[in-house]
Amino acid sequence: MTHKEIHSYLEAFWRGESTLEQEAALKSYFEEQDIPAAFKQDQPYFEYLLKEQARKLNNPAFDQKLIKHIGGGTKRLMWTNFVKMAAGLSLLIAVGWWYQHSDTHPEAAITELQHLRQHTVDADSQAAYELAREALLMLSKGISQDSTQLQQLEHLKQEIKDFDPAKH
Amino acid sequence: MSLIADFQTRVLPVKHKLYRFAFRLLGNGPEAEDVVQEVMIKIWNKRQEMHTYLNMEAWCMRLTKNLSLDRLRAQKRRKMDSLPEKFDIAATTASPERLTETRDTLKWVHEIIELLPDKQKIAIQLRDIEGYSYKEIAEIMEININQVKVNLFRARKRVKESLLQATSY
Repeated sequence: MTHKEIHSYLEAFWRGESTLEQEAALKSYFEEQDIPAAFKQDQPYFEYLLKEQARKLNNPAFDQKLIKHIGGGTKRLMWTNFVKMAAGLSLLIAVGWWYQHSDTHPEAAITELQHLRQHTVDADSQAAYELAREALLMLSKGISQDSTQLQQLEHLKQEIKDFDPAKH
Repeated sequence: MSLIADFQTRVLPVKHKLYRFAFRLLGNGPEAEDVVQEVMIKIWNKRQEMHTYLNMEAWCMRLTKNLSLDRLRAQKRRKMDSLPEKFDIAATTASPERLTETRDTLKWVHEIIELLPDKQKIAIQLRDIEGYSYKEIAEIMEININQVKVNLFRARKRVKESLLQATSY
């Protein structure tokens, strides 16, 4: 760049009228070692800008720590959703069975179903797990004939048994 | 692309800019790093909205600005850290005399900028250091383009006056 061009870019810069391209050209210019006396007074500012541009977040563990944090959060969320779904399903089966085999009035069974479903939706994974476990225990005591339902419930029960909340 | 991969590609690479921005406002490395981490976690918690932001970087910068200013307001203080550890002077090839002179000059420029009002300081950081367009700066600062230009002009004018004063001695 010519002396005249630099002069004109600097004028525009200090007036706040320079373009991004002109500003980039000025920064490159001031990276040079030998700056003419005419531009010496502007040099410290551009040197400062260049130094600041090079500043970095120098913590090698930053990315790993962050990814671990957000990755762990995702796994926890997926597991919580799975437990809630399993708990909800087992409750529906339990209440369905109860409705078919008990002498309870239909309206009472529906109310109970709504109550249990609300608990399942609102509960966190630990509460959902406890609720589902109680329902399954109650149901497994009551079921003695229907082998298909029993197999399904045993499968669900095993999954819930295997779940250790302390690990999640 | 998974959400984590999208996050690593679109958000994580901006961390240095966010750090510089937070550092400009807070004047403290560990605090600036905390802010960057907080911003990243906030963005991750809103990951379902990530695709709705066309200019993800501007969104990150805006969050950084707001969190840094919140911290400043809460702490009611501004640190003027010593510069020797902030500048990698030793990496240059100039003579020891020149290094001392450069360090003093850079420290002095830093102090001039530190004394500017926050908006002018932010305008200098975003335009002169990061090279954003006026439109992007307006988006980050949540002001209009004319206000951006006014803040930048005033900031540069103050710097220029200080440079002139220094060279006249």
